[in-house]
Amino acid sequence: MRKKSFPIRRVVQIAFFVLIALISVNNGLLKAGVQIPPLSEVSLHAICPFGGVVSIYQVVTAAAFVKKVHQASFILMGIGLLLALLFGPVFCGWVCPMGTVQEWIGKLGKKILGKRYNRLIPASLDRVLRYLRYAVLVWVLVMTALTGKLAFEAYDPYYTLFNLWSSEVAWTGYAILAATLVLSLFVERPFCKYGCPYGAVLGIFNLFRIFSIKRNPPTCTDCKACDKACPMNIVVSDKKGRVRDHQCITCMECTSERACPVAETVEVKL
Amino acid sequence: MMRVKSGAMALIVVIVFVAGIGGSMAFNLWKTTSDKEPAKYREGALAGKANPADIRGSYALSDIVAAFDVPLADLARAFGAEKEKDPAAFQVKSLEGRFPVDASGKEIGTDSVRLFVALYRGLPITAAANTGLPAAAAEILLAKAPLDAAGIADVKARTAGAVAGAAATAAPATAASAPAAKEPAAGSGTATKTEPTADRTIKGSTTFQNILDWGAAKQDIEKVLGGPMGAASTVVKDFATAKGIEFSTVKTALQALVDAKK
Repeated sequence: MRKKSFPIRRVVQIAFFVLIALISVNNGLLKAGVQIPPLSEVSLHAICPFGGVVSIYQVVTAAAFVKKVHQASFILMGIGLLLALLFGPVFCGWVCPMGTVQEWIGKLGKKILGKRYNRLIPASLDRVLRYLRYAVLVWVLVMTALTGKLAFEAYDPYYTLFNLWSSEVAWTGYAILAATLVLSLFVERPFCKYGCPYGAVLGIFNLFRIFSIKRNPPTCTDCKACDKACPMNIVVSDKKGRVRDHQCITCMECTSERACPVAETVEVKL
Repeated sequence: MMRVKSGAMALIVVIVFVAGIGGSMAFNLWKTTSDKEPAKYREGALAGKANPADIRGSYALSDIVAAFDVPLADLARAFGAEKEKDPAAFQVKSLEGRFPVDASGKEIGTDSVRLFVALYRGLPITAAANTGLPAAAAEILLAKAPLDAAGIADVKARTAGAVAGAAATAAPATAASAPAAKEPAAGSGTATKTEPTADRTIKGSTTFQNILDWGAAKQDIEKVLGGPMGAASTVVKDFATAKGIEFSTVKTALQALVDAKK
């Protein structure tokens, strides 16, 4: 059995998680007049790339950002979109701390449920639910355009997670975060699959990204290891070449570096 | 065929983020906070002066001192921040929930600071009807602000904890009877105004869509504004503030448009 490559994605995920956690803690300390030296007064809204997405309408029509959103969000949105154009939603698989937390809880779920983990929702229902995040995206964009305020803030589990101690979090945020964390014990990345509006935006790039996950049918042994490894339940083993599924998060768990036992059979390629 | 391994992907992700953020910092494009410089009046006698209507919850008292030259000691005492470890760093949004809503429904928050600063400096402002002032703020305004009789009455009426009767006898300011600040004011020259609550009345929360729905034509609205009105969903007051126009000046003209369609 070929040895899996070093899980460098985990290292990157932990690095971004720690960075966001430090910024969050710094924000809390600032209110008490204390500051973690290298961190400036940066709010979580200011470094959320989705803030840039929901501000586009306001910037175009009124030359102003949505309240609480700043120029940095636009720059991060640009970075996220550039990466998505090249490699798909690599932000979701490698950077997003909310995805990371769901994965961590999912590890516990795998230990409890074994092979049943991430296979509990009937495929027919799951297929429909996967489009729910686009409905969420449309709702968020419309409501933000109508009100000029961050419509998703009160429901955002990511914002809630890093503001647990803040009085600015709505009860709906706590409820959705709690539901996400509990569901993560049964389903891998439930919020990414069914609810994340930013994932919906980036997911569209899977249809035309420059570097895609590609399966090489002649060398494939049809062992389905790639299918089992995919956290988003994408069936890779039936693809004739490029994987163009809108739910792919470019985590590369299916590739020949990780799950696939045959070299150069599932890879990220031009 | 070019392949990307996970090690390369990790490097690319980190490099793109570092280069993107670092590059934008180098070109002074990386902004994670607002400039803390309120919008300025663009017309009238006050053109070029900072508009207190644009004070935001994220402003620290030091930002207000810098923009409006209100002494920090007065500002901190007015809103109970003088005992803070660093009153200058006290953020306006911290007021939310700090003062209980009084029996008459007066609320003390960001709008109270806008009102206090405007009155202290003799600048025009349109405050919400339920915007209150802490007793200390009222005391400072009555002692130091350039208020006329109507302005004094309005401050007393807005003082949190003031009895309802006092509010009633204090001739609550309206668009018609607004107390004028003694210093020159832009546009309509009014100081504080309460917002009428009747239907089809332009208030601080009215959007352009509301005005369109009430029958006013887009071109008439734009004639009042002196330019394109922006998105229909935009709140008129926010639009005016962003454009440096005193809300009260356009409000009257827009109200006339709406009234003409009744």
